Amino acid sequence: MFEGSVRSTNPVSSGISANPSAAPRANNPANDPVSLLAQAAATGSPFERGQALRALDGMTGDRSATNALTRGQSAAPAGRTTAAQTCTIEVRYKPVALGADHAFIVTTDSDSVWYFRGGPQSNNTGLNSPSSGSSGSGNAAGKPPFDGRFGIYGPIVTEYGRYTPKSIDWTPSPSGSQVVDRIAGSCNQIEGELARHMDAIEAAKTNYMPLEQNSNSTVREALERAGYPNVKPVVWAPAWSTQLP
Amino acid sequence: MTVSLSACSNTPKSEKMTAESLQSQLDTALPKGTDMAKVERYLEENDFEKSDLIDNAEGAHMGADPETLELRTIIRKTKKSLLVTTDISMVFTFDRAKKLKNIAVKEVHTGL
Repeated sequence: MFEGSVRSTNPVSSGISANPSAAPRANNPANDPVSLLAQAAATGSPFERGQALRALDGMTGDRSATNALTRGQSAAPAGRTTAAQTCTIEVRYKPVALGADHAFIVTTDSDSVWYFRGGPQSNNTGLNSPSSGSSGSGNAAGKPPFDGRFGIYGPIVTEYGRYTPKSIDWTPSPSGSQVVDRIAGSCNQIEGELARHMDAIEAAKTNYMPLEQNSNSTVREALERAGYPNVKPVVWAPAWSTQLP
Repeated sequence: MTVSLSACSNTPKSEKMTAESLQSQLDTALPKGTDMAKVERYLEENDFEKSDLIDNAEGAHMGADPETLELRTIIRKTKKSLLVTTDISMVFTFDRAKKLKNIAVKEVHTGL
C-alpha cells in the first residue's frame, strides 16, 4: 500500500477478524434484508430506491436512511452495514529522533480514513499546552499554567480525527506499517472503541516520558483495550510495551 | 485583507509564531458567521493549504458534532527539540449553512 512500508509478519496481521468486537459486523451477510434494501436504495431504479428507502425508514421509525442517502452515505440504519465493506486497522510509523519511530493507528473503510494517536502535551518548555482532544473543541489557544506533577513534556495527550494531508501524523511514506486486522463491515464500531480508549488514556494524565511512556505506549495500550493485545511493532518503537494506567 | 499571516503551511515557520498569536489574528480577520467561501479565500491568500471539507456527521460515532463541517490546515515544525517536534493545527468549524462557528488553533507535539 505504501512505498517503502514494512509489512508485518505478525500473526494478527492477516485474514478477517475473529475479534469479538467485530462479530456483529462479521455476522451481517450479503443477503441480509437490510443490506439488500440499502443496496437497492443506493443503486436501484428510482422506483426501487423509493421503495427501499420507505422500507428502511419504516424499520428505523424515522427518515435516517433517506437523510443519509441524500448526504451520500450508506442508507443502512446505524450499526448496520452494506455488503462487501471491509475495515482495515493499521499501525503506521514515522521517524522522530535517534533512529526511533512514532506509532499511530489508522482505520480505513470505504467511507473514510481516521487516525488515533498520542503525544506529549508540551515541547520541553515546562509549560503545558492545551489538551489535543477531538475536533471543534474550541478555546484551544488558552494554556493552563505549569503543572508541577508532570515533567517538561507534560502528560500524554491523545487525538483522533480524519486522516488527511493536513493531519498531524500525515505521511505518504511511513517508515513502517502493519495491518493489525481486517474486519467485515465499516470501521464505526472499532473507531468508537479506539476513541473511547484514547479519551481514557488522556484522562489518566500519565506523565509523558520519551523513552519510558509515550506515543508508542499509547498506541499499544489502545489496541490492547480494543482486543488486540499481541501486536508487535515492525520498527524500533521505544516504550511500546509499557502498560499505561 | 488587513491581516497578513506571512506564513505558508509548507515552509518552515518562525519560532515566534505561536498558537496564541495566530488565534488572535484569525479571530480578528474571520469573525464568527463568516462565509466558508471567504475563509477559503483568506487561507488561499495567506498560502495555507487547506484540507478537503470534512463532514463531522461521519465522525458522530466518535463524538463529533454531526451538525458541523470542518476545514483544517497545519503549520509543520514550528519548534523542534531533541525528541519532540511541534506543529500548529488550525481547525475551522462551520454550521450546515457554511457559516463559521469557531476557529481552534493549538500546538500539537510529536515525540517517540
